[in-house]
Amino acid sequence: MQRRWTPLLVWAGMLAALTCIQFIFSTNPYYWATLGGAAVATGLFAAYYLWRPPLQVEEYVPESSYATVAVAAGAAVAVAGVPFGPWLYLPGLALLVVGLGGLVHELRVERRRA
Amino acid sequence: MTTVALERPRPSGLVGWVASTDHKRIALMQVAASMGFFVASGIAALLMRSELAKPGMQIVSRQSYDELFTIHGSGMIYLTVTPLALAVGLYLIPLQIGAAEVAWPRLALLGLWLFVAGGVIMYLGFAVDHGAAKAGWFATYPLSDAANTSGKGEDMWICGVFLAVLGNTIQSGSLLATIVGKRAPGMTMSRLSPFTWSMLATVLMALTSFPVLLGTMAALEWDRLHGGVFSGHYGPVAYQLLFWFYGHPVVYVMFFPFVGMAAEVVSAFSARRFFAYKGFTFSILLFAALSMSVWAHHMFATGRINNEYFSLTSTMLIVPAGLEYFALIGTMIGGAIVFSTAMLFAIGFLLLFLIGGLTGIIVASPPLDYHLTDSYFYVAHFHYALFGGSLFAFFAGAYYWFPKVTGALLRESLGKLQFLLMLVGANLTFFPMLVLGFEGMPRRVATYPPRFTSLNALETVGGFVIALGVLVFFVNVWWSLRRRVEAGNDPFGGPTLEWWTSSPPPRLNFDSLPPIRSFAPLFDMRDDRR
Repeated sequence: MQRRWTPLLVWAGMLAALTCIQFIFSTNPYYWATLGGAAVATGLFAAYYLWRPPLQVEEYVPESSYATVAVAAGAAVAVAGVPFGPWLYLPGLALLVVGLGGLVHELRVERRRA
Repeated sequence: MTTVALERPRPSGLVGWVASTDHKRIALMQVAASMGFFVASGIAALLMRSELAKPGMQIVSRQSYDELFTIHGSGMIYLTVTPLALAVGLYLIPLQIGAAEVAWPRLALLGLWLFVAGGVIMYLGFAVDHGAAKAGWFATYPLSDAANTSGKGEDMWICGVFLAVLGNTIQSGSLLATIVGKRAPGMTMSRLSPFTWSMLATVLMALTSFPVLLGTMAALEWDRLHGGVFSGHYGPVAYQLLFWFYGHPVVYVMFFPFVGMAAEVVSAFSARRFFAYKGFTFSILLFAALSMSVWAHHMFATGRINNEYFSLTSTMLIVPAGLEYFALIGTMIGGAIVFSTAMLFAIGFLLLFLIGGLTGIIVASPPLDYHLTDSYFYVAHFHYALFGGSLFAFFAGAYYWFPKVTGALLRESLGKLQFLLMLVGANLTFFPMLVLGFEGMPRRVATYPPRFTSLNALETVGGFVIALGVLVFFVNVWWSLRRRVEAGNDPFGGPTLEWWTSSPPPRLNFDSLPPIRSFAPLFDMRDDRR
């Protein structure tokens, strides 16, 4: 298993085989849709790494990202607000949008510096 | 590929930690948060055990008891063991594959804060009317619908689980991209360490099963708000099928990383290369695949699933599990074993998980499962697997890698005391549960007939012995950081790349790398010197 995509493909193959075996016992769509879906998803990961373009020569890593924390906070408030109503999920969505804007800004600044 | 940090001053103080994209800081914050939730969920367990010390109601009400077992189970599974496993991977994988950083560090940071927010929201359920969630850690439908579990606590539990699992899924994506795409020159897939292989299997399971839970939780919340999702004829069975498609693989997500940790510890303290490496890597992929196909064995008692297929795959799990035991024991045979605290915890893991695994084979048989389902036998089975297994291996890893993370050694004397307390406590608590379950004591009850009193009292004593063991660990960490015994780069003669760099490692992990010719590059170097 030298190549990066081989273990993924092997695992996708194992899941596909188990999906086929379960057809001997039952055709319940909940069985094959979930297990078969997992096999297809892993196959797609393997395909991505098979055809992925070569990595850049140099890679830059950020030291910190306040915008990411804002995205997490916004998402958390928005999700927690669902059972409570718009007074909570709307501010959460607003914070999420602000965080995403900050993230775009961070990435632009990073690209300029790089 | 060269990785360079942007020329900006590294933020300092608490704010610098909160927004840091350094994989080591993210991992340490995640370990701290997980341990915080571990303590909170452990306190819930101690309250339950105190209530169960004798029959009748003494300490909490029946409703509070329901909340306690729900939050204890949820806290341990969603907020402690799963994030702890991923946190160890976030810290160690870049170091073991010779990378400077994880792939997509912002996603790793996002995952951390989503998980923390999810945990806080789940616990805030105690502060609302009708209290926290009380439908168990798997929120069985229709017990978890709006009619049977009223109040916002259950909704907050659903939102908390959604956020925590979303965070775990995102971090799994970051770890998969790291393992596959950021390895140092020479670090081929067939030279990954056993721990990194176990993490690869872990993140593959997480990425393919966790999204199903996210959809299921969204559907459950919709059902509670508007109805009509799971309320049909097949709805409750459909909910269980979808939930357990996450619920069983997550058991292995909580197990594989710790097998990998135990493998590294056993190899280092036996001074031997890991035995049957190729067999181990293949078995862990097979183990992961099989564990994706056994989920409905949790539903034998419903009478609505195909018993033959799920019993067959569940029993087949013994094959890769046996191979892994064979590899771990084979590594020890002929080695110069040092019985350090880390090694003792690794051996404890092997013994206690064996009980968890063997009881798992019993309940993989539908006729036996019909007798034992929803009894204390199950509680004993999964506590032997997850407490005796995963947490013992975590402590093995903690004693092994603490010097790498902090530069200081943990005290061996306190470590051995902790091991003894936890070994005695675990068996005092969980072994009587096997007997009680066989005799018919159901799980999730706040009281019981007087004939079960003596074994329950023994379990309560065991629970407090475990708590004492955990307290000794925290004292050991505090004492070892206060009165430091410097560890150096490689205090235990470890085989993998993280022991090449300084302790703690620099921001981009390595100033140089040794030649990588196998999965144990540092053993190769020592062999060359001889």
